[in-house]
Amino acid sequence: MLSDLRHDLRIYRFAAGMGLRAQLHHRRAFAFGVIAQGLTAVTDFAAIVILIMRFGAIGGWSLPQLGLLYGLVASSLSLALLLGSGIGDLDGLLRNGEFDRIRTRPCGSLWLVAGSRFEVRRLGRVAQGLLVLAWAVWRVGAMDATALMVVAALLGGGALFLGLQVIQASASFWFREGCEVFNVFSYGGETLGAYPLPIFQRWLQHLLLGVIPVAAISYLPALVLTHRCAPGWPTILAASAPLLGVAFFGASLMLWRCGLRRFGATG
Amino acid sequence: MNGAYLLHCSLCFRAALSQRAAAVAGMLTQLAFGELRIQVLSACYALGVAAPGMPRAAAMDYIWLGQAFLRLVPMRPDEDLADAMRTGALANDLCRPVDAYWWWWSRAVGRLAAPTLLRCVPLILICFALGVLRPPQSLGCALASLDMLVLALLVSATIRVALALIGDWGGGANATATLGMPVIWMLAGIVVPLPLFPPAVQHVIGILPFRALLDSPLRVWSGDLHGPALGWAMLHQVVWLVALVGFGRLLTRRGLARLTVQGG
Repeated sequence: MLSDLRHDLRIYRFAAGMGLRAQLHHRRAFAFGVIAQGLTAVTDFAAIVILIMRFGAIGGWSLPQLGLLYGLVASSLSLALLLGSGIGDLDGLLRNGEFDRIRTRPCGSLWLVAGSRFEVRRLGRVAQGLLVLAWAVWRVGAMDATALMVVAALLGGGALFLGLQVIQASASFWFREGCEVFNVFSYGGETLGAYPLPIFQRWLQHLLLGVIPVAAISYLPALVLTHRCAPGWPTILAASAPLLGVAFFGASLMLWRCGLRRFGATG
Repeated sequence: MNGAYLLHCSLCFRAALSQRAAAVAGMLTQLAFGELRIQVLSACYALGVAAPGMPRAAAMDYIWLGQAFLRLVPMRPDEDLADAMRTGALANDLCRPVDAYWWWWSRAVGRLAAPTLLRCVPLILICFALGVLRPPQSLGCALASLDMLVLALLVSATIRVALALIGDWGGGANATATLGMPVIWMLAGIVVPLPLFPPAVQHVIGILPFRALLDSPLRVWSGDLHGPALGWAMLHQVVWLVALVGFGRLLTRRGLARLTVQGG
């Protein structure tokens, strides 16, 4: 099992590395692509800045504190989009028969699909998220376990958003078109995760905590980072919330397996 | 001759009307995003700031209408034209006994009008049914808003064509177009309603063409923009429409002068 995983990871690294080298050949296009992705992401944070300038602290959170929320959720999403570039394209691979060929290869098909297209320009998005995050941590002030908490939140967040992509891809085993509707959860999750949870209506809060646990990888860790949590159990619980993201990813893998069983080659 | 462009426009319109599944998917997405933007903005208004730049009710109308007419904001350069330039199919267009620019322009208008209509009509009806959107404040508002939405559609199609032309003829700088998209997105008023931007930048926003795409017609609908301001907003749209068409024609003339078509 473990050696299988190591083998699959090696294949993924190989496929992604190939994509990386191919795209680095067109340097100018590559640079512009990275900048454009970064700029697109900047508008999201600009929206928060504009609202703060008009209305003051949102839900009692200052701009650096909101930057913490935004940085966590935006970096997570962009990391997941970078690593899983190919997963979003599964419906295309299914339609043109490319997936049939992938299935004949002796390794995990999810890894091959993920590595089939590696969009390096998404690094721009990652960089933008991490920059905001670094600025926010600096302004909010670091504490003992800040680095640990941030890394845990990013890992959990990356897993959560990868999981969302895997679910979207799995859905295309059942539905021929319209699976892009699932983008709502990724991008909507990013938007919602950038604001403190209590400002939303109750049903949305439940959704963000229990169903698609975006709050678990941005709001709860940020509570710890901004000293809003009582010491003891509340802090421990909030700090371990990113594990929910990993669990979500695990659940999405099960859905993928179901979809794979349902898949019948067309050729 | 003008009939040819009109016919082309309506043919492209009808062809694009067939993409209904995409419209349904888009509508669901926009309903979701409308709801979450509303919740964020409601939380902001609940803070009770004295003069936020726009009354709460108008801002809520703005958000929902913005989702309904989202398609009016260009998301990428005109795809048909960009593809034709890349594949060389452009040569076919040049063989036609019509002006190339207007041919592309009429196609862009038709291809944009269809998805816009397919999304905005059901979305507005749903918003009315849910009671989250107020109808236009008066008959005058409704008519003016309708006029300005049509103008916005024309401006949008013109910008799309211009971006495709810049992309492939402006020194291979396809990236210029790509870089411009997020800025257009922001300055059209999709992300945050423009009246909520800081007062210091309001003048700049007022001059740039992008508010003609969404912001002006939406504010006329909710009665936020009235009197002389309404007249100026409409004039702003017309002036930019003329200027952008002129710019596009200039790019076309320069591009065609340099163009070499290969093959026999």
